Amino acid sequence: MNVFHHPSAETLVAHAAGTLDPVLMPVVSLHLDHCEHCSQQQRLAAQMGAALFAQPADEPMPPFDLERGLAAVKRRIAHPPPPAANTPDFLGRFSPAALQQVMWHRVTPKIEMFEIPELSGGDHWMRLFRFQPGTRVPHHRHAGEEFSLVLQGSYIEADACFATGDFSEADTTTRHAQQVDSDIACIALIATTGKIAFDNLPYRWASRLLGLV
Amino acid sequence: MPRKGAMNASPPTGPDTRDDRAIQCKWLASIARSQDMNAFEQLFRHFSPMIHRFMIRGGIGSDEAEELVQETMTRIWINAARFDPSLGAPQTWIYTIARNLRTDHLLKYRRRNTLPLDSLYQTHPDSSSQEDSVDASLVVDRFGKLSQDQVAVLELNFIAGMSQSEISDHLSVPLGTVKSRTRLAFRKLRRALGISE
Repeated sequence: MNVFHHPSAETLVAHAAGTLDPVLMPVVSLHLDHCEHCSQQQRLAAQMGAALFAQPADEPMPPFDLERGLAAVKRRIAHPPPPAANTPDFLGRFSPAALQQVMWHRVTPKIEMFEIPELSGGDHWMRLFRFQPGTRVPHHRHAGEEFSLVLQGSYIEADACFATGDFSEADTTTRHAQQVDSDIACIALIATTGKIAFDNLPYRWASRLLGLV
Repeated sequence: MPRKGAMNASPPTGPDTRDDRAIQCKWLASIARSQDMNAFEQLFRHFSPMIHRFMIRGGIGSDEAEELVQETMTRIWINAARFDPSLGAPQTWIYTIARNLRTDHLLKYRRRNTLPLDSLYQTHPDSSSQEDSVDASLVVDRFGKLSQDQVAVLELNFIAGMSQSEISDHLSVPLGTVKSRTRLAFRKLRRALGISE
């Protein structure tokens, strides 16, 4: 698959360090599934983390009793807790087959939405959007970060085309707008850590009424 | 020859070399194959001080840090068979397990609405730790190519577990500066390691 738009190096490093906001993390993870190049970069970043992990600390550390710790782990191993359920296949929810099963909620005649409740709350939310061909999202800004990944179809932003697998990141300095240019609906996973403010006042009111911001 | 710290009870003093990695792979294989407690003890003596240090430096209290060391080592015991020695270094694999447990702990403490970090990473479990292309010791050696400011940003990100916004507040520098230091550090390291961008 040809992917042309990627996370920044600093985002890949933060992903490898586990310090991205949890609502943003899966958007990068899904891009890595589409992009071997970024996947390799992220693995190198994880190696950097592992190398730092092994470095001795400059500051004094509280004592760690190896023998007591080992005895405690042996007790855990001897009496293991009941097997935990497998890690939920969260990212599997965004596979092409799973997207066929989404229970979309219609927001406007051309926009449908599905919110991911496990990661959404307050100003942080993760949502799937399905935009019909030709849909325009007018200029807007963000009070936090926004990561998005195209899962189907494509859109245009500032003369650049974002298609399946393409990743976009925006922050408080970004002002942007999009228009769907594919013949089929464009499905995107969008996560944000802050409110969105549309330039256009009626659109700002409407989006608040519709629960989009 | 592997360094002495990799073979006995002395706390490890630095990143693993290729020889250390080969020994650790054998320990993990032996645990997976025959639940070899002797191999597990060796692994515990080598890695648990590192994990403990990682938890403390991430702001975890001493008692909780010990709990998280135990949890990390228990997961290593349970999941040893999932580690593929042909694809990755044990140190990277163990780092990712400790990292996920530490982040989950901190998010739970902050009462954030989230899922276990394991499920937010990749569709193929543990694949983020696979296919290590260079030795950890080589990576550390190349940190010498970075400025102090760049190393500090990486340490705060990976070891202190701070987000880039938190690093910006901690260092009293703009967020854009934190991002550019991270970007430049990563680029310099890739070049120093001969890895294409």
